[in-house]
Amino acid sequence: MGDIKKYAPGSVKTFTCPNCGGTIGIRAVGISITAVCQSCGSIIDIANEELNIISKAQKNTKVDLDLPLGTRGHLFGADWEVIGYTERGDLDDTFSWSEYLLFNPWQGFRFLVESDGHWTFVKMLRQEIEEVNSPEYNGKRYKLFSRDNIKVNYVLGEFYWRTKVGEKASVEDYVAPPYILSREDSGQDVIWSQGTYIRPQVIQDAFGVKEKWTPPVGIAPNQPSPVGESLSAAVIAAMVAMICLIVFQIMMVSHTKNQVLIDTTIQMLSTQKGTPQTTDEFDIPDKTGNLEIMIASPVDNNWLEVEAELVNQSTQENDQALETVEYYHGYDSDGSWAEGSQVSRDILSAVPGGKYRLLLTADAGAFIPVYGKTTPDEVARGLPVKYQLRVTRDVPDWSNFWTAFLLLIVCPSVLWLYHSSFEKRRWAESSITLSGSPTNIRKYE
Amino acid sequence: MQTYNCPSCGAEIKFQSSISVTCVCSSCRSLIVRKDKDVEAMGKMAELPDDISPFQIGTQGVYEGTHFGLIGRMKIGWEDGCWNEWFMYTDGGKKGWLEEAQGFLAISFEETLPDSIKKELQSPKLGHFVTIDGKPFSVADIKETECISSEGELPLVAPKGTQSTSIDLISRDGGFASVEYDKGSGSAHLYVGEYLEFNQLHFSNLRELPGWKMPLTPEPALIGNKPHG
Repeated sequence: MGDIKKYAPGSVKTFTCPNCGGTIGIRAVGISITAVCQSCGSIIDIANEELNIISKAQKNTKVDLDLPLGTRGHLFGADWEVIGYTERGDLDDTFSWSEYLLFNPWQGFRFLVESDGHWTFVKMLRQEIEEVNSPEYNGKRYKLFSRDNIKVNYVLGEFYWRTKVGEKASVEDYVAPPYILSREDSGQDVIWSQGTYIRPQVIQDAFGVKEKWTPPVGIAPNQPSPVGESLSAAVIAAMVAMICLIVFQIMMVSHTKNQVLIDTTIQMLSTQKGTPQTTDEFDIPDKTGNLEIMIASPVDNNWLEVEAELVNQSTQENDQALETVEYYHGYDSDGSWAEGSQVSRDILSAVPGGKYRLLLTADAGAFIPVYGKTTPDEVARGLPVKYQLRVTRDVPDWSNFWTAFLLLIVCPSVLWLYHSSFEKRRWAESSITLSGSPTNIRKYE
Repeated sequence: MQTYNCPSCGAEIKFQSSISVTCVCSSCRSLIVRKDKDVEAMGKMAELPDDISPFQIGTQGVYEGTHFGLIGRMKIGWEDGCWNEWFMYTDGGKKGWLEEAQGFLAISFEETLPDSIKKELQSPKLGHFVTIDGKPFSVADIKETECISSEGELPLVAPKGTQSTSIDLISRDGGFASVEYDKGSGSAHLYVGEYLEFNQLHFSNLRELPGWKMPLTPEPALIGNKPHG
């Protein structure tokens, strides 16, 4: 290229405050058009040489800023210098927040907005945004959260627009945490901007702030749910685990042998109550595996309880199963009802192979004489009860499956409950009522 | 490139682009207008007011895979401040501009202004929709402007004090368009382009800014031609 002409370097430029004679330094030379005198608080129009005073001395000139003017920090891949500060709030002075104007000569301007200790990094947009209740930006839908009439309470530093204490605007906030989309209507023009929620610690680290800031209060409109990401991760993880679990269970079930070792009908008399009956010695195959003991009896509005003791004939080690079958039914005002079952199953796990006997002790409703029906003779002979006993080696076991399944549901469910309560608290702060939400956005009058 | 001598001070003047019609003499700040084979001085240009622009004449960049170089600048002033319009030397002879205003960058190229749009924007209103190149744009800004100063080569004759009405338009996908009505000549021009981030343009030969660390610019993806010298 041809001659390269260099102009005066773009460092800080100073001029004299037309109100108090103090020195005002300008950082964004040639861009800033308003500056606040740090000594007297007057707001000066610096767009041209005339240096008109926009407003004289603001009341409180000394405000402790979280990020003092001139502080630099590295955020989103660029160095930012704090060059302006604005405090804005609602018209009734019930709430207010801070807006720090950041400057980088190459990247332009950004804002750091601090409200109740929550921070948002904001960029002004030069883009047409559809004026609806849920506008879209960058492929994300935003939901209308609040609509307020606001004013400027206090300014410090320099600005690339004309600013004035008391200047009003109407602001609408739309959220898609951690993002926020804001529409600001000054009455003359509409400005859209988009922000991203930033944890205070990140700001402190970026700007090298040593002092402790008071922790954030409440939930910010665009504060991401602390479990939002974990929730989706937990749901995905649980779903993957469930699929694995189901596949594993199907494989397990299809590989079970279901080998019936005993299938017999046993009759007992009430006179034998308390005395165990012994089965023939039987052989349980394989080194180890589960063993299902099933009792079935056609009890009808009655019950049967069988205690089965499995005794290893060589080691005398034993294992027990208590089987209860009870079945009741009848009619009431709601119609017919039935409860219980005529079948009872119990699975003994890890039963070593070998020679075994079962000792069976039974008690039953049928052993109790019915007054006026059972004869003393019958009692003396013994009241009978019949049941089917079936012993099966290597059956499908679903209990572990269901336990694992429930555990897999618990973690995402707890997160979801937490997440929805967080979202509820967020939207409790919204000034927009769902029912009365108007389609047209009100302009500031 | 064409070389002349400044009619005012005799210094050498180079026109790098064939579409440039004016040039500000770097030694005496005379505004030189190219006429056929000769040049003529058209008064003096004011000193450019200082600013913190990271660009300078000679800054290069890449847009849509093609190199460009900044060869001239107009400083435009309006009621609420001023901004820079950098004239870009590019391949293809299109009149390209890099607008640098309030930290926003936009690249645009001159297009023929259809009579319909010219008429529609005769009395512009904020938010008014206009279709440009088949895309809806809305009027975002209307400013009464004045050329404060300029440097280097420009494709138009804009002496200090040239007054215009500048209408900025934006689209939903970051598109940018501008219609400029020259109050003196009554001519109107249309520029269409888009807003861009600094990092998207792979700048080199940027101006040094004391107190600031020059950002690292990523290597551009080039299409076709070699960089301009």
